[in-house]
Amino acid sequence: MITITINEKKITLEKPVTILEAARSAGIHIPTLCHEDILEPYGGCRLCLVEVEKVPRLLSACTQYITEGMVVRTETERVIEARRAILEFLLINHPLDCSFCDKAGECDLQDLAMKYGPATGRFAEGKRKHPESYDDPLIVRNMERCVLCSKCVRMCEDVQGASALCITNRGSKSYVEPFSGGRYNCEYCGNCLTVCPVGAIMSGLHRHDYRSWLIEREVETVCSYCGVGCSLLLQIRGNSLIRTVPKIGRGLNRGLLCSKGRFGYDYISNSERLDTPLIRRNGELQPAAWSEAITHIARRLKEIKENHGSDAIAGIVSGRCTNEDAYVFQKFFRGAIGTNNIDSVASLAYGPAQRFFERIFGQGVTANDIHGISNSDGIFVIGGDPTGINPVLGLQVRSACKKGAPVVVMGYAEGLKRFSKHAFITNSTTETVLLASLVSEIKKKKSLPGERPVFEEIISGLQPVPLKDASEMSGFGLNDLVDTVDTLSNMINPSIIVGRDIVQTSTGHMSLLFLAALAYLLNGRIYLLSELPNEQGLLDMGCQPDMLPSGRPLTIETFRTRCEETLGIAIPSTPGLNYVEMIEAAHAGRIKALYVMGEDTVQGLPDRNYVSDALRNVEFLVVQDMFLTETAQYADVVLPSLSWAEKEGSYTNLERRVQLTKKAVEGEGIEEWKIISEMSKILGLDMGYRSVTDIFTEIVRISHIYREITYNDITSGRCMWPYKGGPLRHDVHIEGIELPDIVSVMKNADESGVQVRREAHLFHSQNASRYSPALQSISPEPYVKMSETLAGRLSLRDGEHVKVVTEAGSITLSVHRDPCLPENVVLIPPFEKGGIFEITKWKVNPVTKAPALDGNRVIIET
Amino acid sequence: MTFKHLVKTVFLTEIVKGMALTLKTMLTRPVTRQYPKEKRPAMPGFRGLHGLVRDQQTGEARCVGCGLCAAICPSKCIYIYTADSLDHKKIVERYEIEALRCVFCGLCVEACPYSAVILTEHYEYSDYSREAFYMTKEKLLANWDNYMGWEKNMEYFKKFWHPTADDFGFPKNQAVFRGKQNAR
Amino acid sequence: MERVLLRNTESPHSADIHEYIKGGGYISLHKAFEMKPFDVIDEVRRSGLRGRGGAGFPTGMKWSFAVADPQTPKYLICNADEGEPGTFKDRGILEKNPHLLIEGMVISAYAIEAAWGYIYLRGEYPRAKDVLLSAIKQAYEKNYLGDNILGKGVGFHLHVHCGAGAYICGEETALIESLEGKRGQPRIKPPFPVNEGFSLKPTIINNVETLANIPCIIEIGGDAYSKIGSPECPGPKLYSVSGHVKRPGVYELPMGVTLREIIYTHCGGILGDKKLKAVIPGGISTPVLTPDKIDCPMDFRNLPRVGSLLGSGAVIAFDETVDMVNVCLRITKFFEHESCGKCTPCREGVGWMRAIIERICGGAGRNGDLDHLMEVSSNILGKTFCPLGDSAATVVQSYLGNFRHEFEEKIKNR
Repeated sequence: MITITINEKKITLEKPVTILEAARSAGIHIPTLCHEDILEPYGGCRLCLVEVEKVPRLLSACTQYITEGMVVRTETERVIEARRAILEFLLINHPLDCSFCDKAGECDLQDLAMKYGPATGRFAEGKRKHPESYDDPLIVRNMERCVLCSKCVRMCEDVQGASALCITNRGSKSYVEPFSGGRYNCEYCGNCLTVCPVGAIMSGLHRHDYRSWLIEREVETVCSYCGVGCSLLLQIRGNSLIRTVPKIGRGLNRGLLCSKGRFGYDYISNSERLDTPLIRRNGELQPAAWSEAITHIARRLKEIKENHGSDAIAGIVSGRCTNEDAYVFQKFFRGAIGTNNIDSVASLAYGPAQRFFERIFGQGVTANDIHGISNSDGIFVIGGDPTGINPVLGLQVRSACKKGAPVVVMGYAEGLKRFSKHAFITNSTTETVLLASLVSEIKKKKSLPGERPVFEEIISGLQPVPLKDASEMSGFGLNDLVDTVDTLSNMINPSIIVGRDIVQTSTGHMSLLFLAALAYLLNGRIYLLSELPNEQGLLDMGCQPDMLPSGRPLTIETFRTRCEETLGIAIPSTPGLNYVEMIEAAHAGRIKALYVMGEDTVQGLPDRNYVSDALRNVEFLVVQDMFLTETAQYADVVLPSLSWAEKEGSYTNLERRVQLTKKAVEGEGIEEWKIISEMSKILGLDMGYRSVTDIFTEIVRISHIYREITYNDITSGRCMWPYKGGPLRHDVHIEGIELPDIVSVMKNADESGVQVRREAHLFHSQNASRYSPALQSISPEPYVKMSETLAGRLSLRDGEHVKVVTEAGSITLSVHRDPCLPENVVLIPPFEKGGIFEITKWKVNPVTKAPALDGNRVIIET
Repeated sequence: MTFKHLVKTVFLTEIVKGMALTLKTMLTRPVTRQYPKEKRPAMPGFRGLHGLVRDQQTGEARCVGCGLCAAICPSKCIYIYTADSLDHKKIVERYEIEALRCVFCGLCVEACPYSAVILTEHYEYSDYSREAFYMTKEKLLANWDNYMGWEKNMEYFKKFWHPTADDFGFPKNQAVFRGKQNAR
Repeated sequence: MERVLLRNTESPHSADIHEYIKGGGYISLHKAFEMKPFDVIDEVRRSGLRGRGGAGFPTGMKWSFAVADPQTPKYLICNADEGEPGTFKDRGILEKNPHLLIEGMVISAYAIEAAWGYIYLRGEYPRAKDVLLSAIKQAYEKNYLGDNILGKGVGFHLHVHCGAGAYICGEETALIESLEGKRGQPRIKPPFPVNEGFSLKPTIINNVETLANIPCIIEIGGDAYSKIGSPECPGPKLYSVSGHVKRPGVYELPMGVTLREIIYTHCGGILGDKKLKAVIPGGISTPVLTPDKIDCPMDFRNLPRVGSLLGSGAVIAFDETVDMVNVCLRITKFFEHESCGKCTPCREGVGWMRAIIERICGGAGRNGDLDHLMEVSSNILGKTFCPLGDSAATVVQSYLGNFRHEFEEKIKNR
């Protein structure tokens, strides 16, 4: 216990903290420019100088730790005089262009100058000159305004781990510049803008569009881009979204954002957005009234149901839909149409992986707190780049690495290159083999804990794969693999981060089993990367062909009847088709009507031609989307949908935290749940919802995992699974898991040629990002990443254009050379035009029913 | 009835007095004016119809869109919409005053660091529609041209408002107010 | 007095290890290795040796702090970033007597149990670098450096790191940052380098001259050493004298000689026998002295009494023809150029002072400029992160205080 006196106020603190923290805890404000809670103390701005008794000098409160009996005064005449002097120094080189600086009104320097003065300047000499830099599409730097607090640089280096910024030059000539020069070559997280206390680093998106006091409303909501669900503050003037800002320390992101969350909001004001329903008449999509469109859909669905039976109708939900929309959608399909042909994009990777792990370890095994990652003593990343797919989760990996945890990466992870101890960029089969050999080696080193005897039986039954064989097959050095085994087996509480690439291969089910064995052996926590904001919510809401809401199998009669009784609807007892099967059935002509809510199917699945053919085969296709996507162009009816900022609802993130999205602006359109319930009414099932709250109440009533949650619980942000009480489905179904025949996989593996794999691109997720001009401007050109050796052999330079040919098609892309890649793998991100899905064959993993992207050999033609 | 009263009544003194006043007034200059034939001149600092100052050099509005007038306006009747121009300067796309909601307090004029918004001496404005009083940027600039102009303005400002903009004396070489001269 | 630090440096091959050994070199190392590390530190403590870098912190005490820290490994860094105008004392050791430094470093490393040492050399000393590198190579060959020095099982490796021309990197924490590959800016103290220095491990940073004194202390013993020079700060001291003296150069004299003795006895007086106008006693970061104060003994105790500091012992003499305003301008320019930019008062304030003085020099001074200058300098004073800004402010104040009339004249006669 340390007792100190600040401004005659006695304060008792447990730990030795800085004077600044002590003062803040007592509600005493000490001004600072260079201090930020999440950054290390710096002591550069000298504004926090305070007087401490018995110390002749003024001390900086942000660096000085308290000691017993310290007497501090923060607002004496001498201190105020010093602050005025410092402000005068800061202002001599600061341009007085507050009248058109966007920071005015929320500028720390302006506030301090107002508080402490000086009101007039005595500096008669010339000011420092530095032209404003517009080289970057998104970030504008005005280094005349910079006060060199270095918060941006420290944020970039210490928190974001991007190390893209530096202070160039020395003394009064210093300025902040990206290492890459004028244009940033970084992750565009924009956290440097958050911390800038003045208008030196500003977003170019809303440049000169607003003054901070003209912002009329602020709405705290959740980001609509990925499965992390970062808190955002939307600032609105009139009916337009001015900007999104994070709040330092708030939400699970604690004030950090990624490029998509910060800059990607502009898709909601994209001029291409649909505003009226479109109905295909005489082969052309023509505008129609809402009532007309809804009755038209209902009538056609009724016809098809009567003519071809309920199971000729299928529905697909996007991961952008809220829990409420998804719930109503599946209820409509099960209750009003009478089919279980309902699935979501979650079944492409996230769902199968989760289902597999839950089958072995029990429900909720992947529901782990994101912040736990930074506290683990080792991290194993496989199947995707966390810093690209879920950037804020990726930051936790980097933070763990900074604390000394070794990071082992299997698969390509651009953002973890500088952080990984061991990295293996594999093609799909070697991934499985490597995993198998890691498991068989670690099994030797670590004894089985004995918690799950059935699973341990499986683990002991796995075929051993010697490291030597794996090394020979994969081409990775044996020593590397031995080191990796050592690193992994030394981890005590590791985090295992699983991306979608591991699932989307033809040996994905085997990889999942080995991964589960690894997780069990290492006692690791599993995190599933989720590319869409509500993949977990879709699974929870029962948007699965064989599961009821709350993840209960509908084949079990007690669950089904209970659900039927509560809702008063009849639920078919046979499981329906999943997403991939629907497309296959549509291709075969068995699906007559397809209702796609919010998903661009053509862009989201491998083999565009196959999917387009399937969609063309569908007699009646309804697409509900914000934009006229490629899928929508095949539709018979297109309904415009509202963006996330225009409607209310809830998202469940990858750690199973339920969070609210709030309405910030008025959009043109009707909420999805309203449209569906209108249709449902016509088809004879009156759902009777008046608001999203009604729907949520029903979800809470029917779904055991959402039991007793109220909207108020969610608002607190702490509504994380298990919500109230413990997990529900303890029983595990390990029976029926086939032991993989890894030896024959190794024998049959054809490693010749160059394989193409998908790169999870930071700025090009497969959803709204393509309609965001800001995100598009960062990296507009589709590319193929290849190894230095391969590029060298073909004598290709960076930026040169090549034709990438596979069996399924060919595209022209520019070349990015990457020294980390092995020779036999090239990477292509999912761009809209020139993306990987244009050149991949239709292939499905037989067990997980996820699309498989492996085995596509490419030929590169120059 | 007193004697005094009687004398007054008999000699009609009240009427005589009244007539004397009438005669006197007939010979002096009248206090009233024959409005609208005869206009009353505005005193310096009169708060009449709003105007936006047109810059002498550029011919454009002097306003940079800092928004201080809108911030201080007690009846919140000033709307400013700014944007970024192609050459990265701040441009004022819309500057609008709802004149019918204005209370003519003149705080906007005081707040303006550029002396860009003023209240002209013009007070004769009436119309049959409300739209006529929704002052757009063009109308406000026209008000300046029609009712104020530079010469009048100097007197108007210096005498009455003591503009803060005048105190902004900057030494050369300072990185200030660069955007102003070049703004479109 | 017998020369200690510059012993045998007349020989053209004084940097060669054979020459050095012939002159009695590396004897102290043998002697030190017979002692226990703690006894070495005790000997240094008893010698009363104070750091020669400018701050004058007792070396033995500094070492015992590092030894008391349980963390390992420990590092020994030699601060050879001699960047202050007027200072060139370390250069003499580095170029002429590098083995003395190496011997001192090995003994120090033995005392504090450091296995790695770095010499942070000023980037503008390319000759010293060559000499040092070949001396280190020779020392490795003779087994004075390496994993098993003299077969005693003591390991010490020495590296030379060249700075990139930043004065601030002579500040110990900025030096560490620079050595770690970061931007050369001072760190927050505490923790001090003795506890969290290089790679956040206990680190001893000593000046070249300090380390060069160690062999002598071991050789003659701490008690005998403490009898050299003035009793409070004993030992030999290198004075680098420049400016208007007849024989400028590096002089090894006992601590506590007077300025008068240095200028008039050893350097032969003022050039052209002109009148002395001012003396900077310890490098340009120390306040200037007027001729009436040159009888002050040059040591850490006495100079502060007359309003200056010993600093690095770089004496710069100015004769009567010198324009002190110009001197002040030149010095302020130096500080502006060398300010690292971390803290506001130093970054902005020193530039402002420079601008005012420059204006006065350029004949555009105004009345009130001097008060203004005084105010700006006192606004810097005591508010900066590291001593660089403070020295700039005190220096300007000392010129203003001692030569105000010259400034006033400039303003009057513009």
